[in-house]
Amino acid sequence: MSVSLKHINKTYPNGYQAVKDFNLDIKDEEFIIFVGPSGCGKSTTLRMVAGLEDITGGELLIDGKRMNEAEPKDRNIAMVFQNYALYPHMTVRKNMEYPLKIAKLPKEEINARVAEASRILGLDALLDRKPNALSGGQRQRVAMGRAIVRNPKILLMDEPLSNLDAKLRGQMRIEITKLHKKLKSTIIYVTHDQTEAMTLGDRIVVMCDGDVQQIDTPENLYNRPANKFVAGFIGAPQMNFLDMIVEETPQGALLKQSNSTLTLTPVQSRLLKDKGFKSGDHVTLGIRPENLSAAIDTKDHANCIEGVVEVFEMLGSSSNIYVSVNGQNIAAIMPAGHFCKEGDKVSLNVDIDAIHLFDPKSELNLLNM
Amino acid sequence: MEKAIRKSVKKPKEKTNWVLTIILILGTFTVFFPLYMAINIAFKQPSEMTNSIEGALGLPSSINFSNFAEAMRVTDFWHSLGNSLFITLATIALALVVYSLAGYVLGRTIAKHKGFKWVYLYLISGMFVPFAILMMPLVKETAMLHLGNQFGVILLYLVFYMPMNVMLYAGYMKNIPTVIEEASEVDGASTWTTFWRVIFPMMKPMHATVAVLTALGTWNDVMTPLVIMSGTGINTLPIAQLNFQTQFGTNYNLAFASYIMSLIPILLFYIICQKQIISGVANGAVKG
Repeated sequence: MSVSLKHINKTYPNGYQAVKDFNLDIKDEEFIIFVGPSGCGKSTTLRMVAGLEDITGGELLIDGKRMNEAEPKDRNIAMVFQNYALYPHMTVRKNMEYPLKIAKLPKEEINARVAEASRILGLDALLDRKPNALSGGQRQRVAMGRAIVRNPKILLMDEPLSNLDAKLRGQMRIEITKLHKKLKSTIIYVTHDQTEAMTLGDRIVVMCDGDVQQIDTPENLYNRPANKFVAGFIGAPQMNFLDMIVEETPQGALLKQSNSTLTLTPVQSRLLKDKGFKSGDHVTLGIRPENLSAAIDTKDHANCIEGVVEVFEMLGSSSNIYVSVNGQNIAAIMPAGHFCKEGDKVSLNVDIDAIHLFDPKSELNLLNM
Repeated sequence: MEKAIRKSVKKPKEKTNWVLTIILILGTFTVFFPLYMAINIAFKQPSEMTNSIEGALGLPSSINFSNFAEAMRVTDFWHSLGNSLFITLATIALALVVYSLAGYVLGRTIAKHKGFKWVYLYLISGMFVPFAILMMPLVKETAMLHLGNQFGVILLYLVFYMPMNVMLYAGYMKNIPTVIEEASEVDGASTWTTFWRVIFPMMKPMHATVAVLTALGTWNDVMTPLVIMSGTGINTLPIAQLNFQTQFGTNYNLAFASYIMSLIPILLFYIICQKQIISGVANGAVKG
C-alpha cells in the first residue's frame, strides 16, 4: 500500500510549527525511516499518518485515497509504540487477540493468526503471561505481535527499540528486517538512532526542526549529504568540520588553514568556481574520520592537516584519535597497531576524493551536482 | 560456636517510641471498646443491664441468641435486609458505571479544554452542600415524580456521592497513560469499546475504593430513605432499627443485636475489597 504526504504541516494551537511542508511518496512494501534529533517532528509526522494527530495543512493519501479525516481504525494500519502500550490486564494471548476480536474475525482465524505471530516472534511460551511478568525485550515482541496479527498493509513503528539495551537492540534490528521481508508491508519507522536508520531503511528521511533535510537511500545520505546537518547526523563518529580559505591557482583551487593546504581535484575546483567561490572566501570542509589517516613524523605534507593529539582511544580493531587543529577539534579512525599519545604532533592525510565542502552561510553541500 | 556467632551479631534493640505507642493504644481502645460494648450488650438480657460498673462492663451470664431472634422479628429482618441489599447493590453498580464514565471524560479533558474544568469544579462543589438544606425540596420533588421509593433513594445516592467519587476517578485517570487508548484506537476500537474493554478493567483499584465508600454510605444511611420512603411501608435495616427506640425508652439489647447483624454483610464486603482499596486510595490521593 502506498502512502503520500503532500505539503503536510502541523501547527499546534500555541502557534508552534512542529512539521513544515513535508512531502514524501512512499512506495508499496517500502521500508522508510524518519530520523532526526529529539523534537524534530518525526513522531508527530508518524502520528499524523496514524490518525492520532490532526493534520493542520496538506494532504495524506493512502493508496491514493485522502485520509486526513479518517479514523485510525479506518486506515488499515498497525502501530508499535515506543513504550509498548500493552494492555496490562490482558495476557499476551489476549493482547494479540484484541485487534482481531474487534475486527470480529472467526475464532479459528484468530487462533491461527495468534499462533502464527507468536511462532514468528518466539512468544509461544509466554502466551498466558501478563505484561508485568515479561522483560523489556519480550514486551516489545508482544507489541510487534499485536501489530502483525492484523496483517496490516502499513506498519508504523515509533522508536520501538529505544527502551532496549544495546545487545537486544541489535538482535531486534535483525528480527525487524526479517519481519519486513516476511510481511511485505509498507513500514514507516521513527528513530533518533542513525545506526538503526542506516541498517533498516530502504530510504531515510532526515528531519530537523520540523523541516525535511534530505530523503535518500542510506548510501546516498552517507556519500552525498545535502547539507552540513545531514553530513553531521549520519555517520559515527560524526563528520569533522573545518573552516578553510579558498585560494585559486592555475592548477586548480587550494584550501588553506594556517600551515595546512589541500589541493582540490579539477572537478571539485570547477564546482566550487561554478558556485561563485573565489580566492579569500571561506568554506567549510567536511571530512569523515575514516577518510583521515595518520602520518606521524612524515616529511610529505601534501593534502595533510597538522595538529596535536588530545585523546587516544584504543578500541581493539581500530583506534580513535582526537586532534586539535588550530583550536578546532577533529576525530580520525586509525587501523589497529597505530599508537600515539597525548601531545604528539600528528599529520593527518586527507583522502581528497572523499571530502565535502559546505557553504558557511546556507550550509548546503557545494560538491553535489 | 555457631550459636556464639549468632549471639554476637544479634541486632541492637530498637528504641520504643513510647509517645506513639500510647497514642496507638488509645486509638485502638477507642475503636475496640465500643465494639466490645456492642457485642456484650447484644448478648445480655435486660435484667443484666444494671447501673453498676459490673452491670455495664461485665460479660453476659450466658451466651444465648434470643436477642438476635427477637431483633429479627421486630425489624422484619429478611425484608429489611432485602431492601437494604437492593438499594446498596444497585447504587454500587450504577455508581461504578456512571462515576467511572464521568471520571474518564473529565480526567482526559480537563487539561485540554477549559470548559470541562468548570464542569469538574461545578460537580466538586456539590460536596459542600449539606443534605439538610436539600431535604425538604427533595422530598417534594421525589413525591411529585412518583419516586418516593427505592428507585428515588438510589437516584439521590447517585447524585450525593457523585462529587467525591468523580473526583477520585478523574484523579485516577492520570495513572492510565493515554498511549494505551491510542493503541486501542489504532487496533480498531471505538472510544466506547476502548472504555469498556481497556479503561474500565484498568480502573479496578478505584472501583473497589468507590464501591466500599458508596456501600458504607448507603448501607448505614437513615435520613435519605426515612424522608423519601416514609409512609410507603418499605423499610431498610437502619429504618427498621428505629423501632427499638420508643417514647418510653430504648431496648439496647435488641438494638445492638440488630446492629451486629447488619454489620456482618458490610464487613464481609469490606474484607473482599480491602486488598484493592488500599492501593486505590493511595493512587487516587497521590495523583488526584
